[in-house]
Amino acid sequence: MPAADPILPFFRERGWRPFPFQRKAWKAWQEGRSGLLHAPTGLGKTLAVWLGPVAEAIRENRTKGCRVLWITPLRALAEDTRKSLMEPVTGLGLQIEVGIRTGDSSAYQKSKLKKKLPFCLITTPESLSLFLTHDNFRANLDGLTTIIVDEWHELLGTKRGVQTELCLTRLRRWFPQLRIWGLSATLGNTGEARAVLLGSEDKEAVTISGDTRKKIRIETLLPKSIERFPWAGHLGTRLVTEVSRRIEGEDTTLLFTNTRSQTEIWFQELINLRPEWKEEIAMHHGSLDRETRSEVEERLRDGRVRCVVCTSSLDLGVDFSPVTQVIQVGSPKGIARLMQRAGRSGHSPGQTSRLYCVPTNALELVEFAAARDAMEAQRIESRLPLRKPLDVLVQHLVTVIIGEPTREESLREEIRSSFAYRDLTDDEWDWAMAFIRHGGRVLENYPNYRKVDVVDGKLTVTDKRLIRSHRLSIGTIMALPSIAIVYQNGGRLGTVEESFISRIKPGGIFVFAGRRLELVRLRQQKATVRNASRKAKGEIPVWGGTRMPLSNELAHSVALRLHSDGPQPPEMKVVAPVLAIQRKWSRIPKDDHLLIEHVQIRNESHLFIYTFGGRAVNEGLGSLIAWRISQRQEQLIQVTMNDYGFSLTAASPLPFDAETWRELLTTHDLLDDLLACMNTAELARRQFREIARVSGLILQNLPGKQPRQRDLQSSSSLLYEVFERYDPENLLLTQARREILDNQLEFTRMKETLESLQSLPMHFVECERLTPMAFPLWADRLQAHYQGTDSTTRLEKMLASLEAAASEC
Amino acid sequence: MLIEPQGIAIKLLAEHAAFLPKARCLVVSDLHLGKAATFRAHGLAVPEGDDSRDLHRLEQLVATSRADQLVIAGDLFHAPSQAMDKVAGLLKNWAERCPAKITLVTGNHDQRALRGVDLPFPRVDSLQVGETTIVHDPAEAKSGFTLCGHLHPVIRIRDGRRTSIRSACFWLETNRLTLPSFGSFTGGQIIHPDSGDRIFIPIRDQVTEVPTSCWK
Repeated sequence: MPAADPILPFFRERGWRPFPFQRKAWKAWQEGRSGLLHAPTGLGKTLAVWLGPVAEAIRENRTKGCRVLWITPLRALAEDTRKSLMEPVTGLGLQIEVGIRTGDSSAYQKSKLKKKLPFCLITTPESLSLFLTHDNFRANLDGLTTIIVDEWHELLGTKRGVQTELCLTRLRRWFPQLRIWGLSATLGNTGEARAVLLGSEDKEAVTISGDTRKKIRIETLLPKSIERFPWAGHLGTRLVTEVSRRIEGEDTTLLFTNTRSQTEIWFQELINLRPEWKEEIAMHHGSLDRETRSEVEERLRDGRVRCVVCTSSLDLGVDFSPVTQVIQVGSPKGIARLMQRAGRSGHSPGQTSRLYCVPTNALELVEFAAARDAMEAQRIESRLPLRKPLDVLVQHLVTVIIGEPTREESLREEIRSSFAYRDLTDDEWDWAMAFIRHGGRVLENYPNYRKVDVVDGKLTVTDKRLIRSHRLSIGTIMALPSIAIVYQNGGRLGTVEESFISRIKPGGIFVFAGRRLELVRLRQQKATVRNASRKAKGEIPVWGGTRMPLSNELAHSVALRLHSDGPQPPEMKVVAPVLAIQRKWSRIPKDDHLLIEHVQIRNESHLFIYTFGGRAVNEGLGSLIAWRISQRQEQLIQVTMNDYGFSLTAASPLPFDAETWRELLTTHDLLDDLLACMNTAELARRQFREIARVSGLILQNLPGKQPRQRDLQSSSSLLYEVFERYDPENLLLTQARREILDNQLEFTRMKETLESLQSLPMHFVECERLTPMAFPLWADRLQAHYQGTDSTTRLEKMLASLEAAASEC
Repeated sequence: MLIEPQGIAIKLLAEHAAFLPKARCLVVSDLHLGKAATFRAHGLAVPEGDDSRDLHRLEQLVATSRADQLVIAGDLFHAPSQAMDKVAGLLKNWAERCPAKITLVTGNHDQRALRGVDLPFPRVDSLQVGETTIVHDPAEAKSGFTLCGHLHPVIRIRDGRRTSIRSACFWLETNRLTLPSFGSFTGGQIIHPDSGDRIFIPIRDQVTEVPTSCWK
């Protein structure tokens, strides 16, 4: 009997026909294969993987016992997922249970699920890890056939992804016949994504593509006059009137911004412009209280809202079918991301997704045009998997040992069968073992320490208190030190960062969740507020976090677009006068040559170097080159950067000839020079925060709650210093340094950029004034930083200059 | 650096200590001995080492300042733990070698940690040295000038750009001087002083006043 037969009535009743890719997935599943299914959102991926197990349940008349684990990256999605899984179940009149276990589940649900699991359990990576610490989990899973990892692209390349990999490895060992399926948006490296999920290149596994290509139409709001357009404009809310007209013309709009602050700003602007929309516009971002967010999501699903202003917090989600239009404000940053956002509208098979782009500076017009090019050419970003993060490993080791005492040898074999740890060395393994057993390799450094013991030849954790505290700290998500915002009557609004709220004095006004609030008091991780008068002006919070860089693919597409000779899209026509100026005063930068401009402004010398390398790479390159120049001639050089290039500013002349620049751009001694100039020690110390948290060296505090166990408070930078002094061989320190190089400085990408710049022709152009491309870099100089010095030196310099200024008065 | 609040001479030392020249009295606060051991007892693998290092630093400081008297303004210990015996032993040897007369002003952490522990020097709740009262918690400041600890004060200094630098500091209010913590493994909390207050930070081997404009 063909795989799909028992479920066809469900389709017939609705007048649907299964897509070919859905049939393919059902067939592969029935043959016992694992696989990866990638397609844009809203194409029926869920049914494609879910109906296989359902069909089998019908055929075999087996609906009891846990057969399917459904892993979702967002606990907020769990309820939506359950609804869409239940739809065919109810439609076919089946007695199949779908349950949820996430951090949000009630204590009652949790204890019920500890005893017995439903046919399908929806859970998060964290909750799955938690299950692994319970000794009856394996028995409860008896009969498990399938694991489905939803939104796998979101997990891939993150520590949560590695955590998921490790959990899957354990489940695969328990149930070797397990079928594992990943659902993913389209990526540049789907093959690799599958191998990571399955632990290896499984020859039997399949990759299925949602073959009905979804139509995406990208349109850009074109500003009327380009002169009035700020080059490095931050907000660009001047287009708000046009945007409001677009909102008016559609039923339901999602308006995406790139940051939470921008969300607050656009919300305010829209309300100010159209006060009558007050009840019809909502806001959604990650710092708002969860209840507020779910309420907005609910209204969105029912089509009871005209527009939701949001951040990436709404990038994921099962179904917001009433959404008819998506607006993107500001740079798209990446092609996959833009496609994902576009997919939020027309969220059902066959419909066209419409995306309306609002530029906040002129270069973004080019970016939108370039993104369209890349999408048509299917040049989509890859998500690179992480390699053996040891902090995740030691956490997982303790997790599985708590659940099931294990022999070291078999545990090592199991860990090495995962993709992330396939080349874990014996040395690294021994270190991890020493870490969880004695604290470190040098025993006398860790007197009285004991977490994992060996009992009857098996690794075991016996101390009940340690088990409890480990369970509480499972996971890899960092909760930033944040302060809960609450009304005097107790209503919660959400959280802001401590650094923001601590600047506001009681009585001070700020804007949050679209309201004007007056701070009443700040006490014990809680800011009590009341509504301020409507006229009061307030500050808008800024949330930290690194700025997202433009992806390689998009930067490359921009370079191509700037030089394309073919018919020009409307965006380029608007930008044309600006590009003409660039061409006249200098030349158009491109990624097959290196353009360096020099401008003398008063007594300062400015160099602008266009690499198209992305922000992170330019940050590293800028510091590196500044450092290398100052090694040759002692001078203070200021660096600024954006996605397209970096600038150097100094009071004395800077090198401006090809020969010197070839030397400056050498990859020789790259690593050493980088370590010397980037003050990596300080960066690594900051990076250590996450590592210390994941490996269980610091305990996580929840926002708005009293810190747990006061005696165990410590900052990660303090810990970093203690380790450097007394256990410098600790591999977690090495990991911190490596993560800085890999993630923050994008060492590999930087090296590649340098290598390609080496061989490119160079053009040096002396300019009389700032060119259009240079202006944003110049305007950013207020945020510039001097290349690497440690904080003590910085402090000394600062105080010295202040003294000098004071004595002049 | 010598300051004279209310006419009382106090020398601020870059080693996170204060010196009262008139009484030749050295004051430090918040060593939190045994903190790493407490962490290990709770399953957090923090290496041992800072305790003996901190005591060694203190010993040197007593020697170079040629103090007759050493006052520890509270939180000498971190928490009760199995390691307390070892720490107390370490401390006993150390106290025997110390040329100055030692007094511990009991801190909130000490009260629990020292239950049933014998110390080789006296413990008091507050101590009068000349015109200065030494207590642990600033909230217990009496009338007159008070020296205290407890807060582990850290000041955030803005550099006028986007970034700021944190540094442990001495915090001088009208009637009160709060010392930075002496222990290496202690951390701190950011304070928000009022306009009239003065802030001093150790840079390299000196103490410097931070102009109000840098932290306001």
